[in-house]
Order: sequence, then structure tokens, then C-alpha cells
Amino acid sequence: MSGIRHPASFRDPSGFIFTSEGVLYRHLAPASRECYDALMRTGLYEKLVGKGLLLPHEEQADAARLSEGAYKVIRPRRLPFVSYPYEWCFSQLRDAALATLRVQSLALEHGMSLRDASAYNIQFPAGRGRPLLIDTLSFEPYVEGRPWVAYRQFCQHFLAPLALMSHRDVRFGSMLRTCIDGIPLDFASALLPRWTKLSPSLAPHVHMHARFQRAHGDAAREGPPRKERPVSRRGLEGILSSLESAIRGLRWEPGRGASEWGDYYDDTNYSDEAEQSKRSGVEALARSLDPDLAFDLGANTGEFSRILSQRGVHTVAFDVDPVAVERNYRRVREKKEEHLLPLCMDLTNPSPGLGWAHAERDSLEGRGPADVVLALALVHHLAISNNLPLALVADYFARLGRELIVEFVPKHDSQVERLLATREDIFPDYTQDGFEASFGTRFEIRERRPVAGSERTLYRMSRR
Amino acid sequence: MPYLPLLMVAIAWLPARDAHAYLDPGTGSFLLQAVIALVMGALLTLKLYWQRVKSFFVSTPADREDDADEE
Repeated sequence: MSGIRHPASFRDPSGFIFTSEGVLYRHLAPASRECYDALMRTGLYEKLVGKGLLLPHEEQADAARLSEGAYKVIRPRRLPFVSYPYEWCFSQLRDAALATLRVQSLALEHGMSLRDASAYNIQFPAGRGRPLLIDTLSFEPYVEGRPWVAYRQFCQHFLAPLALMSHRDVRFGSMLRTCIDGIPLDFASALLPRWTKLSPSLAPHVHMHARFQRAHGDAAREGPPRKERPVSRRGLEGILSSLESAIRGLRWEPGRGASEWGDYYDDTNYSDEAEQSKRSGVEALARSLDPDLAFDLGANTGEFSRILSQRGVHTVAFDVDPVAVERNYRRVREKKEEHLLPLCMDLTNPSPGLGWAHAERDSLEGRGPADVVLALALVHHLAISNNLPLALVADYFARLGRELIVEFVPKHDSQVERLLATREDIFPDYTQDGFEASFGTRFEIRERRPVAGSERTLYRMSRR
Repeated sequence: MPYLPLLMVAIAWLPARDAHAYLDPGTGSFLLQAVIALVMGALLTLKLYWQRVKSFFVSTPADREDDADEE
């Protein structure tokens, strides 16, 4: 019997991911034997799993039956949702970088070393803001004198984007969507402020690094390979320590006034009564559902996402604004909240399928559908600010989730009046009847709940 | 020793050479590590030595390992 091989799992000859009867497994090729056995034998696996830095797995007894030619088949613990670095806020990428360095230091203590430092190998599975490594086959025995093979990847995937986000603009994070193997260092070097060439961390790891890559990029034509210059163990530890201070030195504070939505909850038209009524309305509508995975679209700082996540529902809180996502993430981390994953997502241009044949990184839709989609105070932004016909909004929501809790905000609501103040009203169909008619073609309307103290209505709908 | 970081900064300011089409970014990364490892290894040794001196005079929490990845 052989499962279906995952389309993104082709780079690594030592193993691949496949699914069989809906369960995700990893095939370990005979070539991975030495590395995998060393990971388990040295106690590194136990140490990392104990610290929550590595995704646990179980070895399967019937390896040969599950996958032909496998040395072993392992079953990694299931991730409720996979996120990508271009969807993370600043602190998520920073924490992922620190986790990678921590894993590498612990690996060295156990005589092992990371051979990949890809940001895609890090996930935030259980909320709490604690990132962990998901790639069990990332380790190899450490050989004294060898440089860190993943050094360049670490600088491209973590240091360069974080430096640009911190020293230029936080929106550089979205560049990772274009540069799928991290930001090339010559590119980062050209984009960073000139003064960073004086920074004791960015000068060597980004600027000098880019220069060395150019100067020695044509090594194949420079004649027979030179003898590899050794990097002592202390030297390697020094580099890791320098990288750690470089990452810790990069900061970004979500500024006031700079954000689209960061201060939204201080800047709404809700009375306390409406706020309370909306909250209890969403709670009541959610009570009849028993989802495993929820998407909160336009979640802002996650006020309403928490209604679900605090019930133990794995909730992904998407927002277009990096400030709101940053605040949400910091709150998750501070309170060690579980089941809540804040992510950056522009719904008018959601994450597409990326990489080779569009299959290496899944689109948002490809990672769904969620059991329930929350769309509160969102539809008027899509319909009015983005000229999206309600039928198209309903259509996309139906592709993202099976159940829907959605809020309709009428035209005479002061927030919609604000949107219409600076544009011509070309939205004759934006009425409650028009909304129900459009969504009714895709969903069956199960429940309506007016939000007291406002003109708004909450709906619970099921996909047809 | 203190002028070595300055030297690294100076190298970062040198004018760039033209890039070629068949670039191999790996070789430069390995060679760079060999260079900076000397400086950064020495700095780490100094740092660890300084921490030992400091902890001789000031008592610090024995093990901050578990919250090393938290702020």
C-alpha cells in the first residue's frame, strides 16, 4: 500500500510526507537512517519535545506496509492549521527565529546540527505564541570544524526580513510571499538604511554576507575547490550568539495612528449595550455549533475570536492590519492563551498557492474549509470599500467554511456612512434584503439576531 | 581585538563587484563564517568569561535556560 505523496515534499531526498487514509505520515528513506537514529539516540529528540520546540511523532510498526522502501515511517502529531511566514506578524517571525537558534544550540549540545533553517519548518500549533520545529529530518551529526550549512538560509528567512521590518517598514514582511526562499541578502543589503552597515550584527550577517556571496559566487570557475576553511566549535557558537543578539536587537512597536484598525475597539460607534448584545449574540449563535477549526475573518485584535478559542476551538484570527495582528499575538503570548493563532491576511488578495506548480505553499482556501467562519463587521468593507458584489462575497465565504456567523451592517450605520462619505453611493443592492438574497443562494439562513442598540443583525448560516 | 568589529564594518562598505549569472551563494557563506568565527568566537569567550567574573560578585538566578526564549 502506498499513500498520496504531498506535492510540497520533493526537495529532501531523506524522506517525504504522504497521506494514507486521511492520516499524515512521513516516509524516512534508508539515507536518513544515520541522522534520524542520532536524533533519537543522543536524547536530542526527547529534550526538544520536552521543551516544546519540536513536533512529537510516533514511529509506526508497519512501515513497509505503509510505504514501500521506507527505513521507517513516522506519524507526526497533527497540526490543526499550517501558516506561512508571509502571514506572520513581526513578533511571530522574531519568535520563530529565536526558536530556530535555540534548537540549533541544543542540537550542538547533543552533537547534532540543523541542516535547514527554513522559516517554513516552524509552526505555531497550539497557540500560546510558542513556535516549534516541525521537520524531524532537519538534523545531522555535527562535525567539528564545519561551518553551519543553514547559516545563509537563516539570514535570508529570518534576519533580513526582520531587519527590514524593524528598520524600514513592517510591511516588508509581505515580501516573503514573493521571495519564497527568504529575502536575498544583496537585495536586503541594498534596501536597509545605510547606517546599518555600522551595526555590529547587520554589518557582518547581511552586508558582508552579501559581499562574500558575490565575491565567491563563481567558485566553480575559480579552479579546483579550495580546502574548506575550518570553523571551530567556539567560533560557531560565537556566530550563533551573535545571530541571537542580532534578532533580539530587532524591535518593532505597533505605533499609534499608524494603523488601519489597531485602535478599532476604541473607535467604534457601539454603545456598551450594542457591544454586549453583539457579544452575547455571537456566543449564542456559536453555542449550537461544535467546530474543530474556525476562521475569524477581519478579526482585528481577536475580541470575538476568543469566544471560540476559549471553548477549545482552534481559531485562526485573520486581519489585514499587521498592527492588529501584532497586538493580538502579544496578548496570546502574554496570557499564554491556547487555540488562537493570529495571522495577517488581506482578504481581497488572500494567500495563493505558491512555489513549484503552485503546490508548495497552499492557498488559504486550500487549507480550509473551516468548520465555521466568523465574519463580523466585515461585509460592508468588502462590499463598499472594495466594490465586491455581495454574491461574490457569499461565494468565497462558502468556499472557506461550512457554517457562517456573519454580521450585516446597514447603510445608515455611522460606520458605513463614514465609508460612503468619500465615495459615490453606487451600491443600490447593499440592503438587508439584498444581503439575504445574495447569501441565500449559497447558504441556508438558520438564525437571525438583531444587535440591540444598533441597526445591525447577526446571522447564522449553513452552506448549501 | 576591539578593532576587529571595525574591520568587519569596513569590509561591508567596500564597493560591490558585478554579479555573475551562475552564482553559487553557498561558497561565500562558508568563507564568511570562517572569517567572522574568529571574531565572534573570541567575543563569546570574553562574554562568558565576563559573566563568570560578574556572577562571582553578584548572585544571579542560576538557570535562566527555560525562559531563554521568552522576553
